[in-house]
Amino acid sequence: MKGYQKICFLFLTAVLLASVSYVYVSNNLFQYSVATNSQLYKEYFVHKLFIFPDYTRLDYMEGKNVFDLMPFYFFLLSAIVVGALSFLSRGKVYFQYYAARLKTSRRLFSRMMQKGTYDLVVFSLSYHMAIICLIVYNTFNYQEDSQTFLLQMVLLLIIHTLFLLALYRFLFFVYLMLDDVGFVLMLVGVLAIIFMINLTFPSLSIIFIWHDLHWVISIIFSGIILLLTQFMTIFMPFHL
Amino acid sequence: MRIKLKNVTIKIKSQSILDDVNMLIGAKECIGLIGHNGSGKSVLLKAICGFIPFSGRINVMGKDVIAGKQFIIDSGIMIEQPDMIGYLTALENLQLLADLIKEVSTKQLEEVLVQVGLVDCKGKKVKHFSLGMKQRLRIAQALMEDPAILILDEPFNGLDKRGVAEISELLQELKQQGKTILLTSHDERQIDALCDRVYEIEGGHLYCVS
Repeated sequence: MKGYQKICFLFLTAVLLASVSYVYVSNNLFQYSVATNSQLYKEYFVHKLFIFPDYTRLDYMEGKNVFDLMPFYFFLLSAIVVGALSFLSRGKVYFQYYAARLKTSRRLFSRMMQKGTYDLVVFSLSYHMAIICLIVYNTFNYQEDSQTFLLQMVLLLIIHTLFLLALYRFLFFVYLMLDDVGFVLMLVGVLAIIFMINLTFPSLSIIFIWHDLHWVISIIFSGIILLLTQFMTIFMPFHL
Repeated sequence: MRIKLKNVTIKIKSQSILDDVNMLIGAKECIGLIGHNGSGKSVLLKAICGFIPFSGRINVMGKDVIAGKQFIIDSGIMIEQPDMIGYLTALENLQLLADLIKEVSTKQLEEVLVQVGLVDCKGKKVKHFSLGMKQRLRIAQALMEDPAILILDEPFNGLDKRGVAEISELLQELKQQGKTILLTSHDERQIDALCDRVYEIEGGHLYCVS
């Protein structure tokens, strides 16, 4: 796909995924609203979508089950796949053409990851913007502080994108070591493990919301992984 | 000497593929590698490019190759026939690679397409190419920066009789221009006609056969 076609495809895929996630969550919340005759807030949608782990104290989060994790899981999974397509679709052997021109493994790795990084950021940005638009548009008459909601969503956009970038870079090196199948298995497995860890220890807040400072640990976690991948860029060899 | 191999030993998963290989290749030389399937021809080319671990020393154009870290310089390579990008045209594929170092103009890319006989198909998407056309395009990407060294793994694969003759003629011409060419082939007649020296890989050792 050419540049603008790809951007459109990424944008539309992200919007579609965001819409499906939103519809799933809003159905749950509207049922809750009707059953309890209570008002809905924008924050409820954010919590439902991005899984507020401390849900035992919030009655609108009741009835949570594993399916509630799916929209977020699929978003993270799709974002990494979207990024990784730039190197998965060409195959490792193709990058000999790059290697012969770029001379060093460090420059080669940076270049191999470049396109995917861009695609991933576009995808994540589109997804979050679509979620923001859907929530704002569908709850425009709700009485509440929209500024707080927007700030929360921007923070989520930043931490999710950083987390995705860190995981994408890490999995890129997994791909170099284990090839396509290893990459896919590791992607599914690593995400599932992070979900389990974060749900077991909610205050870790690696990807899920946890009160006001939920973004600090996530940024530190992603920062450490990014640093680690920077070292891998320097020290990891490229073998065919 | 442009390519120097000194005591090069290659092991893959603790199995010895090539043992104590020594070779010197100069300018204007065309070297052929022959051997049965799995004998280690492509493995040797990969080692020279720095794509697999080896022990010993490989020096290309005065610079040591460090496996996996520091790759071959001033070279056009084609190992194991990697596919070009199907949804791009021939020219776009070359442009994409040219953009990596920005040393080649579009005019030069078109010239190289003329050299390999693909200029009429420069706007055609690669997914519609025949095997032979894809092979010509791979050769074009190896030539496009006018490198001093060409490393070509089975360059005649997929080519018809006319294609083989044209590419042989092109390689002969490039040799006359001072290029160093290292190639592998199953077709011993082509190798004999084109190469100054021919080596056979047998049982992990390299023998000069002509």
